[in-house]
Amino acid sequence: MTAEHDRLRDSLRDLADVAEPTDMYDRAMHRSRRIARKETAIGTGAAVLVLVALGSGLWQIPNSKQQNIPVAGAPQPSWSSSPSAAATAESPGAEPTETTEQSSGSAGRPSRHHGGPAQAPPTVKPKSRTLADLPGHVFYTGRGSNPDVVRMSPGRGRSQVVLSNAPSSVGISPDGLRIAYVTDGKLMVNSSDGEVKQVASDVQASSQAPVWSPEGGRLLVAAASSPGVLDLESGAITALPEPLASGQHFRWSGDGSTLVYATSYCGLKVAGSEDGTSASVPVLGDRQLQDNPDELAACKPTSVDATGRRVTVPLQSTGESTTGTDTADAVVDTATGDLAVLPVAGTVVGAVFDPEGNLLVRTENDGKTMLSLFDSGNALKVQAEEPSSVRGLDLLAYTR
Amino acid sequence: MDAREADYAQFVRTRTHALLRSAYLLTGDQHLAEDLVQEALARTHRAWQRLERVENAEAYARKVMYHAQVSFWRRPKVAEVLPADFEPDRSPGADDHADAAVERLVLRRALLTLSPKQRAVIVLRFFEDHTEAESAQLLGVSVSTVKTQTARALDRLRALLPDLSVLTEVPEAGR
Repeated sequence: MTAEHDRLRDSLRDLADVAEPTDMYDRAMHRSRRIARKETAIGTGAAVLVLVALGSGLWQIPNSKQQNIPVAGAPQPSWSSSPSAAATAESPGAEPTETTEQSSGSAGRPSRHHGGPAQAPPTVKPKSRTLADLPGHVFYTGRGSNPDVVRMSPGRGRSQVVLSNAPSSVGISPDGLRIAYVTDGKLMVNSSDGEVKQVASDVQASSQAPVWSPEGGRLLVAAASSPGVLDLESGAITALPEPLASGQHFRWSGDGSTLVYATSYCGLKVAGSEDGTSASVPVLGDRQLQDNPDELAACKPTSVDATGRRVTVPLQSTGESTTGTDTADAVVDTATGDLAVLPVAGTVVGAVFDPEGNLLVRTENDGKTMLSLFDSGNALKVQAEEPSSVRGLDLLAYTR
Repeated sequence: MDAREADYAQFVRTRTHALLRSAYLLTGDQHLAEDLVQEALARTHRAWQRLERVENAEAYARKVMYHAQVSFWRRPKVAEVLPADFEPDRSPGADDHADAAVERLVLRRALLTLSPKQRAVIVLRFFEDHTEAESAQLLGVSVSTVKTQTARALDRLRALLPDLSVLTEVPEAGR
C-alpha cells in the first residue's frame, strides 16, 4: 500500500464525511411496503388463473366487482353485464395466436383486496420485433427543469427535439404535429411546420398541463386558476362545470366522452366531459386501510384509453402530496381501481395510451430498454428495443 | 414490533450512516444518496428473513446499492455538475489547495464526471478497499471489467485533476 493510495483513501473518506446521518427507518419501511405491493405473489389458485390467461390478452379483464360501481359519464363497456363475454368483446382486433377466449368469468388478474396485485405474467409473443413497425410518434422529455421534448418516429428511424427548454409541462396533439406549453402565462402552440402561435393568456400549467381534445380542436387548460376548455378556432374558453373546478391534471378519453382527473388527496375521479357529474375511482387515495390496504394513490393521471375505462398513472402511496415523476408506471381500471398486470418482462418505466386506446409500455430489463405496443384489444403488436438516442429521457406521449 | 423487525430496525439505525457515506460518493448529493440507501434498505427488508446475520444484511444492502446505481436503478441520478462548474477556484489568495472544503468540492465534481460504473469501482477499490475480485463479485461483472473501468476512471480523473497527485498510481494488481 503506497502513500498515494492512503491519500486517495483519505480524500474519499473526507468527502464521504459530507454525508449527514439520517434516520432512514421509516423511509425504508415505506419503500419496502411499496415494493411488496408490486411483488406480492398471488395465491396458487390465482396464479393458475393468471397462467391460463397468459397470452390471451386478458391481463386487464375486470371481474364482476365493476357491475356495482358507477362511473359517471363513462360509457359502460359491453362486458359490464356479461363478464364471460369480455374476451371477445374486448379483443376484436386480436391476433389469433395471442388472444384467446376466456372460458369463464373468472378474473384474469386477482383483486388487490385479496392478496395484492399479481406478479407480472410471462411475456407474450409480439407480432413484430422490429422497431420500424411501431407506428406513429413516441414523445420523450428530459428530466429536471426546462427539459427538451423529443419526438422519436420509429417508422422514419429518427429522433428530433421538437421543443427545447420547455418552460412548462406540455401537451402533445393527437396527430403528434403540435405541442402546447405555457410561458409567462401565455399558452403557446408550436406546429411541426415551424409556426409558433399564442392561443391564450393568463394560463398556468402547474396543476394542469395543456391537454388536447381527441379531435385536436380544443385544449383543456387551467385559465385563471380554474380548468376550462379553449376552442382553438374561436379562442373562447369555457369553464368546466363547477363540480370539476377543484380537480387537477385532467385527461380526456380517446372518444372525448370522459375526463379523468386527480383530487387533492391523490385519488382519481371519472367525469362526463359534458355534464360534469363524476364518480371516484375506488381504492386509490382512500385512507381507510380496510378499503385500501396497500395505501395506493395516484396524484396525476397521464393518459386515458379510448373509453375512459383505463388510465395510466405514476403509482404512489397515500400521504404523498406531489408526484415524484410525471411518467406513469401503472395502468388502473377506473371502474374497480385495480392495477393491470402487464405481460412484459422487467420494470415498467413508462406507460401511455394513445387516443385509439393503444397502450405503449416502456420497460427496463437486463440493461435493455424495450417498447411494447398493445392494441386496444390488448394484443401485443410490436415489441422492440428502444434506440439509444432517447436513453435517459422519460416517456411522455404516444400519438398516431 | 416482533424480534425480527426489531433486529432490522437496529440494523438500519446502526448501519445507515455507513451506507450513506458510500452512497454519497456514488451520487454526489445527500438527497440522492438517501434515495439510494432507502432502496437498498427496503430491498434488504424484503430479504430480511433469508439473511441470517447482520454482516450478511450489510453486504446484501451494499450489493443492492451498487447494482442499483450502475445497472437497474430506475432513474440513475447523480448530482448535476456542469462543465463550467468544474474548474477549481485558482484566484490569487484563494489558497484553495490548502482548503479541505475546496478539495472535497473538486473531488466530488470530478467523481460526478465518471460513468456510474467507473464511480462504483473507484469507491469500491479506494474507499471500501475491496479487491478487484471482490469488486467484480459485488458488481456482477468480470475482474477484467473492474480493471478496465478502474483504469479508465483514473485516466479520467488524472485528466480532470492534474494536481491531484493521489491519483497517479493504480493500486496493486489483485488487491
